[in-house]
Amino acid sequence: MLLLDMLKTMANGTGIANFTFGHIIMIGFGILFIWFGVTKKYEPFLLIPLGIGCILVNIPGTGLMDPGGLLWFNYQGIAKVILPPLIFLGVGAMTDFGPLIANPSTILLGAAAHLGIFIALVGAKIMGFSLFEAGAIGIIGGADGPMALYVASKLAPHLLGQVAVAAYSYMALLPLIQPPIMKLCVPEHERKIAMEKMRPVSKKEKIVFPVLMILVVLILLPPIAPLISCLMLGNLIRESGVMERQAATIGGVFLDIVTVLIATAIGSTMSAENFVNLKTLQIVILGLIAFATGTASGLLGKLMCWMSKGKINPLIGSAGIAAVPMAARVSHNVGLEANKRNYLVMHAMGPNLAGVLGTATAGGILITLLLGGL
Amino acid sequence: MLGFTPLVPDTVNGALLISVFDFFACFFVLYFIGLIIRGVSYVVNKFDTKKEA
Repeated sequence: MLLLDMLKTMANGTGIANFTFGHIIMIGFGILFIWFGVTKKYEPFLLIPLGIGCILVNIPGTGLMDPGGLLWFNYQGIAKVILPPLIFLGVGAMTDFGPLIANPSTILLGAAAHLGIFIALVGAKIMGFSLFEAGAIGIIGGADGPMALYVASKLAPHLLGQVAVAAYSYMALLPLIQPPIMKLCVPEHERKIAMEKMRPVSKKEKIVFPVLMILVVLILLPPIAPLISCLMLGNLIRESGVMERQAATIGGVFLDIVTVLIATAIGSTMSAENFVNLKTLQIVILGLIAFATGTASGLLGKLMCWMSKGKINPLIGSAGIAAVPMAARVSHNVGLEANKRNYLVMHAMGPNLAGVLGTATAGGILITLLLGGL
Repeated sequence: MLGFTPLVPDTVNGALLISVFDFFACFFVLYFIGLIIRGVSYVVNKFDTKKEA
């Protein structure tokens, strides 16, 4: 009898006894993310840790997400908005803002591509979410992970997990989501347009830019200070030319480590208890709508193409939804498919970087209007 | 939140209002930033040319 009791206690202590159908579904999603990352190579640095986080949190009894657990500590990095500014610091240190400085008119494409945010916001309100929740859901359309985390943590902290997962998964799946919309909206003869070389940007301009952005953007929108100040600090470290070792570390190893931590933390929010419900499905659908409409509205580049008498390839407009540098890479690849001599990546970086400022602006305005700038 | 009374009502009309306002505000803010970048680039490059000459 004692042996039987011991076996029973052992069996109850394993994960098997506490598995539910929801856990199995979520572990399936985790495996799917890893599969996409490994075999399809869709942003593996995001999808692999995201998938592992998702699997870990859905194995019952590990206690990893209980207060004091390993994943719980990691999650505090996004819940307390520590990791998103660090990601921006690294992004700033590896980003050349030259294309945006060389062609500031492309900044408008970054604004246009944010229509998706507002379509998702109104859609969420129609579906019955509160205005705060709708704002947090809408910001998924900005395709800017750290900004989505930041705005969601301010407006609707209880939806942080769903918003983060939708934002980061769609960012990773951009090569799947954007090309069909781009091909549908832009005819082949426009996709073939090869753009002229940009003017060179001087060192001084690149040094002045981050300081100027800190002053202008933060004076206009103080609530987004944590992210923009880190982005521009990272960029100033890079462009100053006197901190090369630090710039290489912050934009390289440091950014890689923080990305793994943040992606694992996001994956760890995907527990069956939080995720297997109608709200998550609604958020995932709204996020997809936001990404798709953002891509389509960014193709307002067609208007710029017409105004410039065919000198601007409309494909660069879809990069206005932020997601640096994935969206610019997608624009480049779609352009390359149409014309083997088409190198759009640097041109697309202009709207892509404008998209970062655009999402920050849209998020800052939402926070100011809904929370009174708190 | 903390006692702050939201300006925008928590309704579909409120969502539409905030969306339209935010979209256009975003456009103007970015346009303004674009103008500043252009202006500062002009000044910096002009200064550079003078020095070289």
